[in-house]
Amino acid sequence: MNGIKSLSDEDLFREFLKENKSEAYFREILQRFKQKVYWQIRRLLMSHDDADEVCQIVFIKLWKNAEQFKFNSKLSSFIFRIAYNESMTFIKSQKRFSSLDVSEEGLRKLESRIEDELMPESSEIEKQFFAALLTLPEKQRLVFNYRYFEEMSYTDISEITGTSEGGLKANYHIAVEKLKKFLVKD
Amino acid sequence: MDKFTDKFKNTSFRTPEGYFDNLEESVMKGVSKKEKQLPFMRVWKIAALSSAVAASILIAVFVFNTDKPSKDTPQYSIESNEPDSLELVDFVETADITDEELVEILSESEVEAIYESETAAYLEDADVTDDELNALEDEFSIFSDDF
Repeated sequence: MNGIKSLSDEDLFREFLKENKSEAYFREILQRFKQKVYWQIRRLLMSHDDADEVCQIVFIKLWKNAEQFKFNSKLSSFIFRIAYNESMTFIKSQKRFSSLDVSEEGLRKLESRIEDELMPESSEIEKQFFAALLTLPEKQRLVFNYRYFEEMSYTDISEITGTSEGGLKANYHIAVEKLKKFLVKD
Repeated sequence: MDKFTDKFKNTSFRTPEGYFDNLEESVMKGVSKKEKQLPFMRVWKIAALSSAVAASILIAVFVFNTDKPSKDTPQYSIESNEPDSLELVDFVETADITDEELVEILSESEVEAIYESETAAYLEDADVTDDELNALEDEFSIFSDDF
């Protein structure tokens, strides 16, 4: 078991499956991916409670559907793909995510929601930024998050979302322009 | 496209202390719960499927069953399918048929029906006297007590 840490993500997963879904190997997978998955979801949903719920679902589904991974892509893409799908499913099921009010008052409400989620030392501009981020359509927001926060390549993002690289670049560009407009306004 | 400011990359969100350690345990609990549910779900699914198949067969048998109605079934009663008593009376008046022949044709229940059904009501409404009724009974002996 000492060699677990030296295994690549894919070899680790291979061993996990070979050992009939061994808990030890799965815990190592959790160790490696839990923070990344959590923060991807958190930045999308903002709320810790929502992110926690979706994050748990992602890893439980990873366990349940482990055999579906065919090793023809990176394990990270497979896991992030599950996170993407579950986040989208969650957003669709939550009315409060739909029809976000982008008026002045609407933005103020969003900022107040953000304030509860950010650390107390966060600046006004940071609150405004994340409130503006929430006004983006979900997919655009996700693409922005992958590119900006995770610094993923368009190829990797394309593997996760199933969108063409050209489409992703356009999405990211539009998201950046919108966010700039919000920040310049203030 | 300008490089978007890196200013916000390190913005911190509030997270409960020890959250990520607890996350691991929560996930493992969720995984073992799913595993325990599986055998039960399999049995339940098999039982549900078997019941559905049995129910479908029963419904098919019921829908496509072409049993004939029994003799007691009311839809074949004299009142609904046989000529009404007024028509019978008319027929008796106009037909060249003897009383004996008539009795042979009509069953006892039909005879009773003639009396009990609309003709009797008609006679009452028509304000027929007993004498007139007796005369009618004599004329149409099927109404007599002899039968």
